[in-house]
Amino acid sequence: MNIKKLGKLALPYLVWMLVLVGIPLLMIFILSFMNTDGVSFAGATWTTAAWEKMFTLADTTNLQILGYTFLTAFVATVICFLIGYPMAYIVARSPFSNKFVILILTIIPMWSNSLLRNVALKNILSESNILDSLLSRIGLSFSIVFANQDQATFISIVIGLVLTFLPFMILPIYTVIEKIDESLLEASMDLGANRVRTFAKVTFPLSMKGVTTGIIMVFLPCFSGFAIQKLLSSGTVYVLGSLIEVNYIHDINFVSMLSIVILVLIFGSMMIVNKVDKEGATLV
Amino acid sequence: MGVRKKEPGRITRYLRRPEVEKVLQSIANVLKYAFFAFFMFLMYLPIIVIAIQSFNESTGLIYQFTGFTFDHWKNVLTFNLDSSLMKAISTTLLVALLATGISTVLGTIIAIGIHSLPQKKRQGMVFLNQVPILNADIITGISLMFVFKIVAEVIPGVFGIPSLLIAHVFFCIPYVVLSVLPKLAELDDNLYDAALDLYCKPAVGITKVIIPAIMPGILTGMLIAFTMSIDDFLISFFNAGQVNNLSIYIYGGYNRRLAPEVYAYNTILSTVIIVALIAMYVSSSLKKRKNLKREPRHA
Amino acid sequence: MKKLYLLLLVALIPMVTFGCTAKPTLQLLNWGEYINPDMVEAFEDEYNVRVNITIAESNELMEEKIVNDTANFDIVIPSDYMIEKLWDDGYLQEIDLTKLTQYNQANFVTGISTILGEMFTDNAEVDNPYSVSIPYFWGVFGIMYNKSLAGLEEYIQEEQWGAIFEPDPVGVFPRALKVAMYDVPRFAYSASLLYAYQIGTITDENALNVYSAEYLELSEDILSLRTYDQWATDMVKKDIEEGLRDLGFVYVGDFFDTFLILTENATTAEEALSLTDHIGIIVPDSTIAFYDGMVIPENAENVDLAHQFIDFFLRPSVAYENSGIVGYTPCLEAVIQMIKTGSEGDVIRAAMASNPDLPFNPSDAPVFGGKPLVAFSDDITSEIIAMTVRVKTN
Repeated sequence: MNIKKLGKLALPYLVWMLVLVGIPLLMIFILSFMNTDGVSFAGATWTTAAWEKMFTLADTTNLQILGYTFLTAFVATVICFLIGYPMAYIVARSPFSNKFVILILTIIPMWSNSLLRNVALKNILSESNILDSLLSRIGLSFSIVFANQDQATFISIVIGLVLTFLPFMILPIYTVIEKIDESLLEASMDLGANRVRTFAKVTFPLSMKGVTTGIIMVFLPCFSGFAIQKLLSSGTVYVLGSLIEVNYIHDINFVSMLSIVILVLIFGSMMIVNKVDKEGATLV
Repeated sequence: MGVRKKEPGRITRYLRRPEVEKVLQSIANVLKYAFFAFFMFLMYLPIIVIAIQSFNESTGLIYQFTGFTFDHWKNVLTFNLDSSLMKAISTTLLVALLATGISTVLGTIIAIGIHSLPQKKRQGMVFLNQVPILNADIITGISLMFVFKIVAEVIPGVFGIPSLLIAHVFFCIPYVVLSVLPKLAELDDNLYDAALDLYCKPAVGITKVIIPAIMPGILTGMLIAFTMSIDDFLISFFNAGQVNNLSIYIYGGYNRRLAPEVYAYNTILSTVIIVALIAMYVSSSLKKRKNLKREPRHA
Repeated sequence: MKKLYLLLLVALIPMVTFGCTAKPTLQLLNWGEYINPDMVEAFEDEYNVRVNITIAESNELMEEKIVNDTANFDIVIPSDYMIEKLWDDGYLQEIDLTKLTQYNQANFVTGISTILGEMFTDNAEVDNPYSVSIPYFWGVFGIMYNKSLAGLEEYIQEEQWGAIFEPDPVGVFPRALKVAMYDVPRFAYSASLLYAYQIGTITDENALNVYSAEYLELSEDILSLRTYDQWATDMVKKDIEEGLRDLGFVYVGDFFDTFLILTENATTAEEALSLTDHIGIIVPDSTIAFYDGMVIPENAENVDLAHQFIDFFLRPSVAYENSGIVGYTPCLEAVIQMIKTGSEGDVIRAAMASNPDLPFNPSDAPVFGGKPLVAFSDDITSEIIAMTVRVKTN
């Protein structure tokens, strides 16, 4: 196969990534087992203190944060999938002449500055907000009231994550659905399968690659980010990303450990997905 | 288990009547587009709020609309801005456009390369590719800064636009690669073989056969790359030297009082892009319609 | 593709016009929106130079920029504890006070003398803290509140720090108080120890600058006494103004910022006061004080120009204009008088600064109880961070 010869195109990338990713990654790994002053190794000693801070039963604070981060990222990803798949499907199967333009429209909100966007979201989710202030001029009102603070925090974070990262689910799914050969679907219908069955047995399996890409692209930023979570919880909860943000100046070893934990957890779960679902094998 | 063909019941028979099916179909269509429109609207809500703020007399009071004003728009449209905001905006746009262009081209080539590797090596490369997406921005930002510090020993002027651009290309490429790979997986490798059998050079084979087939993936990757670049704060902060981009400007100013022109600029940018897209859409569908009319139908 | 090039070109035009100039450039590292651009322009015109402003949003990020040496700066404006840290680590150079025609230690307000008097107490090398940094703006921490809840003002006056830290009093308010905490672990730690000192749990009035395992535990207990509806920095003032929170621990400057925003369109003093009569600020008897100072980094390239810049911003007329866009308190007595008396015609700021209920110049208080924070080591800081993480999570 001639295409195998094109592998050399990836070679410069390997060098580039080894320099810009491999070496820093190695450094981070080493730093997580040391006790350094910033990033200078002078007078540093080997220690597992950073790891003990995370994985100790004496103080489960950091493990709880890990759990909460995973929960919010997981719920947000599932909701993104449940909303994003139908949206991608609707566009792909719509009669619009230039579907890609519709797709771009979904991602344009992300071109606005994230701080402005998150503050705007927080604004909308607050009891008194600017929409309410405007609507009150014509005698209407708008406000979302939550039962209690924990609920408000969790729901706000999930809403923020979903509305921000939804395009990352729609785009990859769209690109695969759009190219599914219509004749396959017709064949399936001709063979007596109804629409639901055709979707479940033909369309959905064929779109799995896009789904996997979408899940990765949504889950990763949800799991490692902090800005949305911080703003929409009014700073009342920590996620892994905010632990990194608040600690990186004063404790590089702890932050290195957190980065390794994030990497290992995500690659671990991707390996499992890979074992279960051979279709996704191209991604990992 | 064999599939037993069931005799359709009364309700099913009723539902299958052509006139009923037609009504159901159109209801389903309306629901479908309502669903789509509803979530589009939700995604646009923050942008709408930013637009409202751009007309708000008091932009310090984010929860209250105190009065309507065009001043912030006027200041942006007449370039009557304090120069640091203007500089920040142009830096952001310049870096985002360049980084998107470069990373789309490189990312596509790299993705083709990765796709062509044997399985084990491919997995290794995809792993490396995922790391920058996965790493906290702070980690990526600091890592890059140390690499640039070493580079700066040789090339003193590297901190500033050059380091900012390279950093952005660095974190944009993985998104392009990730978007293009699934399309490559769908591609029939024999197509490329056929092209070479027909005496195409490899470069021609790639541009004429592979690229058109994976175009949607490339465009997706390009969009995501632009999205990541235009909005990046932390990686930019560590690698910008004495340059500010818009994110650095906004994060820095938000604690005190943000220049209200930022809201107006943001709204103008979004509006221009949306209007341009709609114009593009209308013109392309008009063209298609014309072409359809001209082409004689094959009987 | 053509369109893309066109866009690029449009983006390039301002870059080129801003970039090409042979004039010497003063590199300033500052907080965002913390200097009046008109005054920068005036400086540029007078000295025929250019000023390039780089923005950092926290003291720690300023430190990153200086320590990592990714760019040379001529002037940086960090806060007290960071100035001390940068000096101790050898990143700053001494300011040549003889080059400053406007400098006179007696021109600064008494609050500034008190704060600078507490600086470098353990560093014998520095005999004059003004030769390390020239004060730019200053202030103290206070409790900002929304007056819509009846009785809250009296409660805060009575309880002081207790209003922030203690659980809701029984039967005083019709609903639970919504309290905001400042989301900087070090500030939360020090404020909780000020509370401990206020109620007599500890007797060390300097506890805010002391770290021990015992104090850490005490601070954790105090911070766990109640739940906070918000841990934030810049959002606190906005949320209190709007009534989303009842009270919170903020920079006094945040209150004056809010005052200026609310009175943007006011024309008379009465109007200004009535537009702001729903918010208030109370400064506890002992509190955290701070100042931001202009410093010259060791590797500055335009040292003379840096001195000229400092001298320029020490001119009362310039400092007065500069304070017009920042809510924080100026450091020069003359400038405070100009604002208070409204001698330049600004009746709104005169109403704000001369109001006896508002601590525009905190050193006007009968006893000035503000103390600056000293820098803690990284190990201590990360212990304090871990403590606030525990408080929020459990």
